Amino acid sequence: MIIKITVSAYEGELMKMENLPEHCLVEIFQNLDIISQFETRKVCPLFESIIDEMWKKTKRIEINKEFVNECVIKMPQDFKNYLSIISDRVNEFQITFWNSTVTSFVANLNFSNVHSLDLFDLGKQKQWPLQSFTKLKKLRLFIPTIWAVNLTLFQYLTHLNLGSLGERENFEYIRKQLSPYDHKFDVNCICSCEQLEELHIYSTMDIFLIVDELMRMPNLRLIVCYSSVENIRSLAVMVTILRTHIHTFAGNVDLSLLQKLHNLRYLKLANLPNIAWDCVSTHDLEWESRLLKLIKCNKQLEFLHIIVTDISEGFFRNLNAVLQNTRTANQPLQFRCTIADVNGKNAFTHMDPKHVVFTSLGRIDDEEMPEFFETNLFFRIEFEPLVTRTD
Amino acid sequence: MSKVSSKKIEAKQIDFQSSDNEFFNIDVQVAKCSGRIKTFLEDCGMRSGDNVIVPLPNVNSEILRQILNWANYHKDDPQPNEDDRDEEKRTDDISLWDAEFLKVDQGILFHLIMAANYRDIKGLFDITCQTVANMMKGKTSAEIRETFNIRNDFTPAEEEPIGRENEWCEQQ
Repeated sequence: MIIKITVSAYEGELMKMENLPEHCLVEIFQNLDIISQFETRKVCPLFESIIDEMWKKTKRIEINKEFVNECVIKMPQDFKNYLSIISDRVNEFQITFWNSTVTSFVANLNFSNVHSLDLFDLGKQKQWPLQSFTKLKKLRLFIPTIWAVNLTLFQYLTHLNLGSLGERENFEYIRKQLSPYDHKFDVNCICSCEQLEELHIYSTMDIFLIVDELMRMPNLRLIVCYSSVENIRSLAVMVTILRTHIHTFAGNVDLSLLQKLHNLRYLKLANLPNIAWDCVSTHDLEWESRLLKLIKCNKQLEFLHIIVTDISEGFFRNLNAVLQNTRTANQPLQFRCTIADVNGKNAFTHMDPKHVVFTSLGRIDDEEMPEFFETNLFFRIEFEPLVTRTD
Repeated sequence: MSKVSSKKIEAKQIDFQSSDNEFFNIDVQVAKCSGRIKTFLEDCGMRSGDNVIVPLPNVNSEILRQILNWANYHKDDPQPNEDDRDEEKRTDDISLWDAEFLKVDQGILFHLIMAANYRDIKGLFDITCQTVANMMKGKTSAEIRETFNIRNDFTPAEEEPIGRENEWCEQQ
């Protein structure tokens, strides 16, 4: 009796997928990968409108190798629809791989809400359609170049113990010879992002050609450069142009580059051998006196962090004297000194921190050293925009 | 108040009445897998000795039996945390038991989705939706239509430009 009722009750109300409430369909479709969403969208107008609404909520898109191979190449029209629906919705765009289809579609759209773009260039593309990202605030460029390949090769050669071939001068020579082929990426396209606030460079790409344009951007206030010794002259030019506008500097550069700066509030410096083979002692009195001079000129410095392999006892005495004679601000300098003790000797035994206004001494243990090297920060400058916006 | 009443109703039995008037006597703990019934039971503040019958006019006995079967198996699962509801990672993982449990007719599967949705049974809702999604994955639009018996009501005009533009893409 019961079974009979059950069966008849079920037969009475045949349930179809289209009859599910829309939010249930949304829940189902959200479990689909993007290709299945492409296909689902073509099933019927109802599914199309639901998928479109879902896509309109997309805040972030990542186009990687798998995406290009699976979606862009196999279903270019669906990809085009997808991209045009999300184009004015996404805030973050990350591209690690592309082909000409991707760039031509991107070039014809306006990603008016993208404020953060990560671009990995594989050296194939010279011009990237950055003009489609007019409201971009943060641009991060990852451009693996010949230099990176060389470094690996070099380490391999050293490992093989090939005598002079593995010596540093030879490596530098090879690198210089190859560098003209290294810059396929045309930096000029960066200039079309007029609203840019942050520029991060993770490559050997040299921004020298566009330094003037960058400095004229009304909102640009941060430039970070990783592993890019090529940008030394760019840095020198920027320091000259921005002089009193730079308030934050962090990096591992020759201090003579910074001597024009007078309004620093935050300074973080490393005086470390950049590459593992450079094992000479960096107990460098010239560096210390340059640093003291810099502190002397920057009377409003609030925070100082130095990372050194060694430091002299005299430095602390001199620092104290400099601070007592030059400080205009009332609050004491926050000072932090980290000893990255590559040679394993204890640098703390000579120190008497009571001479310093405010000190916190830290220490990087040997195990933590590689982490510092890996971040490979060349420089980071934060500044007040040179040009104030004239609306 | 609701806290006190929820203590009172512990380890009690209640009756569900399906749309086709079948009665299911079940443990309150099992019934509370439904967010909606849990709230209902806490709000009405049952006292011991009460004989509670909850009518479920939207659920027939077939579906209700399935749901109770599922709820009974999962009654000791940790409650989903409200905070990480949305952040929860989507995975294709459906436990073996659940996969076996969901080897049912499409119609029943959709009824389960409806019921889980209406009764706020989060765990069941997730795995049923995931199961339908898995049935769609890797299929072309035509295959999806066929699988779920969906009518293609795009007008030819709506479909045509896709083909044309594709040609243009391929020429690129």
